[in-house]
Amino acid sequence: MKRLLVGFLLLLALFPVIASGSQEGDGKTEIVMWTFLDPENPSNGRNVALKQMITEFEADNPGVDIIVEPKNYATMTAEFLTAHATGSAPDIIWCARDELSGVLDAGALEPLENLFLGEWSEEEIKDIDDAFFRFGERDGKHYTLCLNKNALVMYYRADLLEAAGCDVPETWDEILDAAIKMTKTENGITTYGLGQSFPSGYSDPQLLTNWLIDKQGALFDEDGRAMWANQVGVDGVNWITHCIDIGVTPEGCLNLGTEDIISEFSAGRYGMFIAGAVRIGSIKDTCSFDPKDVKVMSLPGGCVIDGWFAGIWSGSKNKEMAGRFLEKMYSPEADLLWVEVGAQAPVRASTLEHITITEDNDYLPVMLDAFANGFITPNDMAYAGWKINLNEAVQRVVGNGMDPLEALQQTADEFNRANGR
Amino acid sequence: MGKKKINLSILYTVPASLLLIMFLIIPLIFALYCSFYQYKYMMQGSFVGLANYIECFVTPRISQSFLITFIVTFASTAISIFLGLVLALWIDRRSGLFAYFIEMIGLIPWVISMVVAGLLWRWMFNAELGLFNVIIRAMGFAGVDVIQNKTAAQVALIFVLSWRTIGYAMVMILAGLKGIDDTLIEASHIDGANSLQTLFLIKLPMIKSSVLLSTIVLTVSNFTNNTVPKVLTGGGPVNATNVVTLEQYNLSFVYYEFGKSSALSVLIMICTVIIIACYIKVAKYKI
Repeated sequence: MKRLLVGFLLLLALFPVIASGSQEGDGKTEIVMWTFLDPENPSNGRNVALKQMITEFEADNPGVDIIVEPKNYATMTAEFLTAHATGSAPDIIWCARDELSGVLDAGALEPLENLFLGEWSEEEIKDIDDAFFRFGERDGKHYTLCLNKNALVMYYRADLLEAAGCDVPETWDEILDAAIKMTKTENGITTYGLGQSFPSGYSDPQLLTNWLIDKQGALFDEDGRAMWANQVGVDGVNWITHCIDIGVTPEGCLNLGTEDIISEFSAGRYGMFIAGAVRIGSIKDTCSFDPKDVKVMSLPGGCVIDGWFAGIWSGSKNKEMAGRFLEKMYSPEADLLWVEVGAQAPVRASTLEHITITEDNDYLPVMLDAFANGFITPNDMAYAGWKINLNEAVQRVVGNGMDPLEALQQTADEFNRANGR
Repeated sequence: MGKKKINLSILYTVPASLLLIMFLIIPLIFALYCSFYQYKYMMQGSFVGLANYIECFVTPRISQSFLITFIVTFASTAISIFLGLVLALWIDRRSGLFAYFIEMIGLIPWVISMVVAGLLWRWMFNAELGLFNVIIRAMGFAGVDVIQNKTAAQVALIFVLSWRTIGYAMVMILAGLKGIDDTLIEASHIDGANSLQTLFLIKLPMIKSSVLLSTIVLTVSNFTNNTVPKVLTGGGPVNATNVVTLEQYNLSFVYYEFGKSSALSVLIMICTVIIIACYIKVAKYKI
């Protein structure tokens, strides 16, 4: 009896070890992918497109299961780095742009030339060779492919802009003028001309970024140090505080996040605001007004471009198969699917030949212009936290009444210190 | 010669001990180890000794976040324990379905997801469309942009943390009250004690353990709560609600400074241990 009891206890103690899964159980190969998309949730076009690709790939490769583990986009890369350090990372990972440098430094990704890129023809490479493709390059090898090109554009309501008697604004003065004319209060509810958000947490780059790029061409110097504690930065902060002072931007913008501002725009609270162009599908789906009035435009000096970069974990036991699925997600057919079903921008130049610009996808020319002329942080070193640092400069000026130059200097120092400059 | 007795009691603890070692002790030791190294992007760098700890102490926004955390933690815990005690004493005098119903209602905030609770209150406090401001305006007052005002945001955070934990305090204290022998209460009445005397001389000393345990649990829960501040206020506006766990989150997931965030984690753990030790000392609780 005692032996039985001891045996049972040992079995119980070993249960976690026995129960842990194998990646190749039942003769099947499981390719695990971490992404912020959820193919089981059909409410988003990108999810639907991914689901279709998985179904097709599994049908073409019997015995292979693609397991998608949806993750929070804000912490996914950190989780991947931790998993890489402990040898338990997924086969395929989607990395955020700002974090890619650190991921490459950690040696967490496999060069794609070792898997499939080495077999591609020059013509095929030319089809994808742009700033996003080159962003995943280090020492002559490519480690990622951009699967989700994005540009931080200005959304606007065409109906409100027309009612205000304004053309699509192109300069800072025209943006301010349009914002003033679109601001109105009816039945106690105010529609603000220009929605902005400056939270301390995750945020898309705001107008101060565009101001700096427009006026001085860059955010960082050659050594990667912050380059905003200067007169250009002060003028930018003053432009923003002026918007708040005259009431075209609500004072509450200091603590609004990207999701808040998207929700409020959809509810009809703003005439214009900045967000990722890839959100246009979901914004049109949820807005309380005619979705045809949701338009996007470029910003003075060009837009910040962004994206998600997919790569293969260097420690994966199924690199080849994982690489084949990544190649599938980047194929000409998949690219068209991402565009037509997922409302994304094409990653291949050849895909453009199949697309006709209509009222439904008139955001594409703005995105393509942004990809050609937009701003992207280099991948030679880490640029962590700069969006929060710029937001906090505005917070300190508006919320604490700090001198703009002092606030910009403080946050520049914080950025430089945090990034080891 | 009798058979040698095998002490099986140690074996009984093996499963739980293994789990504790795997999920508590090893990560704790690893965090302590990381805190002495440069750990950028999860890559082990050079040994830096106490430099990560010193940086935590000399960084103004970290020391400021500790101050905010202490204020928010003690205010919300004090409110929860006080109101939980009042509610427990009130319900203790009642019985049947009504008492059961109140206990269930009180526990709902504790059992629902913190993300859901944070989002719920964030929308309730919305400046123009939130229920809170609709009511305030209906009463003839000017609306308040709660989440965007520094003081109001701090009060809102304390309020939501208290709202979440009052039910837990109430049930724990009520369990203590139910455990008091009725004969003691009857004896006090026979001796001529009034309700207040019974409360302060009989009931409160008898429920000291449950009040102390609730206080410890809620203090630690509020001190280390990351979810509610992150969802409700995000640490803003202008860092007014930037509690230390948000600072730790940013160090880990924004700046990827795992060495520094490990040092901060160790400091947070030391703070909670000190707080618990102080409670036990003050309450003269015997472990």
